[in-house]
Amino acid sequence: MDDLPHRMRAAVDVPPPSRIDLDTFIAGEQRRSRRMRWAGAATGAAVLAAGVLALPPLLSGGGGPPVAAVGSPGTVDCPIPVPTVSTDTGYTGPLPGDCAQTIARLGGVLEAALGALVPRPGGAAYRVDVLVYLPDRGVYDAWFALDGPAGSGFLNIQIGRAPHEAPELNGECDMAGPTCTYERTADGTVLLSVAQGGQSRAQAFLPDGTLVSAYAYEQAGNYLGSPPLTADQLLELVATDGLGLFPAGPVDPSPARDKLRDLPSAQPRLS
Amino acid sequence: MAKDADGFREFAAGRLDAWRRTAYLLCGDWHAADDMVSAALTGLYRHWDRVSRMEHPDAYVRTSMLRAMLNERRRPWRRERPVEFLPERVATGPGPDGVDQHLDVTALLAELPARRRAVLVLRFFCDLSVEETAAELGCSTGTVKSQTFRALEALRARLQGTGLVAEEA
Repeated sequence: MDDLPHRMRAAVDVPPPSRIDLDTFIAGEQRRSRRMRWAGAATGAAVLAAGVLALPPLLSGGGGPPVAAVGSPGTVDCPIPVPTVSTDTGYTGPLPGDCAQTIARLGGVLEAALGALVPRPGGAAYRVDVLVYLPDRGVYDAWFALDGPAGSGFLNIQIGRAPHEAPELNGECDMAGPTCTYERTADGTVLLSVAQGGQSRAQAFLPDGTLVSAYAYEQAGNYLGSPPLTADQLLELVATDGLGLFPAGPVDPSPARDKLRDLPSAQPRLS
Repeated sequence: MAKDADGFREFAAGRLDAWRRTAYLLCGDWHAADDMVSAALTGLYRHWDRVSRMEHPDAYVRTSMLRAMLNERRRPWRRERPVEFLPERVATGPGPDGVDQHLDVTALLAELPARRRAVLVLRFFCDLSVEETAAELGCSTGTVKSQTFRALEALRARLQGTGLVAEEA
């Protein structure tokens, strides 16, 4: 045995027992394949669910983190009061009177209305200082975390100048079906509501040109549970007396803008 | 699509020992050899549907092991490090039994650069031709011939005329 091939074969002639067990190896690989398939399916489902959840708010012009301002004192950034309605500056303004006074007035109305709709344990009052003015959108905006009889979740209220005339019908009824409503009251207020998939929305086009929007959705945000307020409760809320911005008289709607941002489902972008 | 696990098991069981021996000659350590074979088996199983239709599935496994060895040699913790004292040399003389020869040839192979060692193992242990060796290493036949020549020359110089000679193809 004096050549290289023979020496090589001699060197490996008596190998030690192998640590490789083919059956164990194959079983392990089959387990891994199953796990990968499940992980792939779960990832796909998660991406799909995220898309389904994210799409409606994005389409409706929102998308900002909805709970950022819940329970925290709002920073009121009031614009310089514009006393008349003649100089139309677009979506922002004109606002009647003093902004701070308006906030205090609207906050008081909302506190009373919410306290009646969803009483807090021990009769505690809602913090009205969460109501802020968003100058870039020209709306007064408030977020509340609620524990209602139907479920827990969040409520967003926006009060601003109506971007357009009150609609003649509820455009969402085609998709939402019987869970949407449309009503024109005797005083000219137009009320719209939609309840669908763990959320409920309502709007009130007030005769003075104010649009009051309310949007409630359930805590998990998966559009499967119940919102803290029903559509009927939201309708009652938006129709509360005293939420009009123009007590001195009706104003025309704001110039037309992106209608998607003004649908009842609009989630405001927090400033 | 379900894999042909039985076909894979039958194929691998019949060749596992040969793969381990080849891996051992490539790396000089039975534990590392088992790791190399396991890595190759993993790739083989995951691509078994395709590999099983190949003309030479063995070549796929050998190539996997060679890549594993060459990649492992590139790891930072495998790089050459200076030491204060030279390690003892393994006895190079041919011994009366196989154990000595085993130590001898593995020590000699370990002193060679990885690609030259791979060329010697493929050509003189796996009995591959120059062309087959070139195909598995992904280089030209000229490279295989020159690597073989230099590897054998190094072995001859190392053995200093102990009679370890491999016929040049």
